Amino acid sequence: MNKFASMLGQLTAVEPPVVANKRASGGPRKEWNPTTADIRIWKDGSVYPSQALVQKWGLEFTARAFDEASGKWTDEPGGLGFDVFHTADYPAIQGPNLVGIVPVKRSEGKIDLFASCNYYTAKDKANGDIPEGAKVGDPVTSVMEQGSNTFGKELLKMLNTSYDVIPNAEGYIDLLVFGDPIKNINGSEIYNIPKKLKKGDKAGELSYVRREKVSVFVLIPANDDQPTGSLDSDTKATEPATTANQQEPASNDAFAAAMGGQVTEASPVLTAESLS
Amino acid sequence: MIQVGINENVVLKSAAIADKGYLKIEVRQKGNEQASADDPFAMASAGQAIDVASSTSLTILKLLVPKATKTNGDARTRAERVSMSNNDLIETMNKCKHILSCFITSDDIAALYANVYMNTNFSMEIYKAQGAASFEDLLLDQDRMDIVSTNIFNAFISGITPFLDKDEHAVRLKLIRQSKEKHYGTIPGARYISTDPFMESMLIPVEQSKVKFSAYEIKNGLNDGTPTTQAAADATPAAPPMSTDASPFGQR
Repeated sequence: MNKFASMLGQLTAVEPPVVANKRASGGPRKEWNPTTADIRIWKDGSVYPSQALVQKWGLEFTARAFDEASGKWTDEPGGLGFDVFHTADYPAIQGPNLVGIVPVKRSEGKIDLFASCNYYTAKDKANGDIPEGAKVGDPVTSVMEQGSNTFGKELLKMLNTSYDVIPNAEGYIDLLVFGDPIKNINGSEIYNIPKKLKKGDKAGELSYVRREKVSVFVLIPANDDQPTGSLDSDTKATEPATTANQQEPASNDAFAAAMGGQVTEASPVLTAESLS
Repeated sequence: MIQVGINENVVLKSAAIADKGYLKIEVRQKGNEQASADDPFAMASAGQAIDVASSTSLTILKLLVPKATKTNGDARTRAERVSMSNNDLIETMNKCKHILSCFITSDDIAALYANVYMNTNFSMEIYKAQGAASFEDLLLDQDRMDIVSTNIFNAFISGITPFLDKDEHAVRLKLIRQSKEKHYGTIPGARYISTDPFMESMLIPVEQSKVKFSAYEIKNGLNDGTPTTQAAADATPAAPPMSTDASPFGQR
């Protein structure tokens, strides 16, 4: 059994899927997305899903309806993203402090991973910035290529806290969305997912968001040989990326364009107390 | 016992419509299954007086149509009475729905409250056909509003019953002082319940809690349960809240 999966203890008795401990192959283009795991997080915090995960949970960004007269979107963003939290912050689930992950409709807002993207706007259209075949309201990028690091830096710290892992020599950690859905200890279908406040004078403090009838899984390192240690020792992992453009260049033009427009939000400062 | 303040580990024990038409929700402390309003002495620890400001039950009053005249004799306009009655309806519904939201999902709550106007000779079809006056007539008819009260409370009881008297469904409950003169604890107004909740599951750690006294409540001493004299407390009637536009559907 995957040593990280064994931390689940009595939460679930399901065996994790067999994952080959094979490192990503080299080549002219980096293997941004995992093929033998569900999610790959790079040391700069950029996060990429596998194609299988995108298909399983409907993570792909979808076109939105745009009313040119009012200049406003007339529908909610489609598809799902993920809430991510420490299970120690969520007494409704008892056990070791793992990283919980919950697929949630993007329309519900306040989502951590794969939450949003940029869309082509009327202004883009007027400026001739919409590529051939695309239209106003289409997503600028695919979730497979976006590589947002808005939440990733926080996630790196969470993974280090729960599993002691750090990025490998290639600079990433592969992760699995694992297990059968975990139920609340009182059987409720209401999940009040812990969430750090991002704005205001209480930024960094924990609050929660209400989710209903969701499935709670755990996010665990996919490979037993994932390096462990202090995240601080890997300075590159904790260097703040002030803009997404500082990431390693991608070969895909749409990806680069999307990242250029991606607003990166400073993660709340994590204290030693919250890491303990 | 519950009182003015943030009460932790409150278990809803029973819910019923009392003879006078109000909703009575009996509560107990988690782990204290014997405590009951029928046996108040069982709740008082040895040597401790029973505080009349502490309670073992919550009350949600039935809907009362505002009288045509104020206590000072001035007349109320129809619009004023409609507005007050509608506000009362919204508050009552919000309180019941908010409590239920600690236990059941939004879809289930919506299903429970789909027939609030049952047996009142009022419906969406009537509203569409006859306009707002049909709803205003309902709001000013005490007999029909009694039926609405019963429907609201029965829906609540139906939804809450599976969770009654179960420690694993304990909640955190905020009660405010009834008024500056009255120190009895009461459920806060529920107009802005989405941002100012008065109840949440105890499964939410206190450091994440959203059940807090608002700046307004603190400024006006509504978080303070210090007793006043009985005479002062009994002398001051609670002021009815004012309201906004009347609309029977989708206002919550």
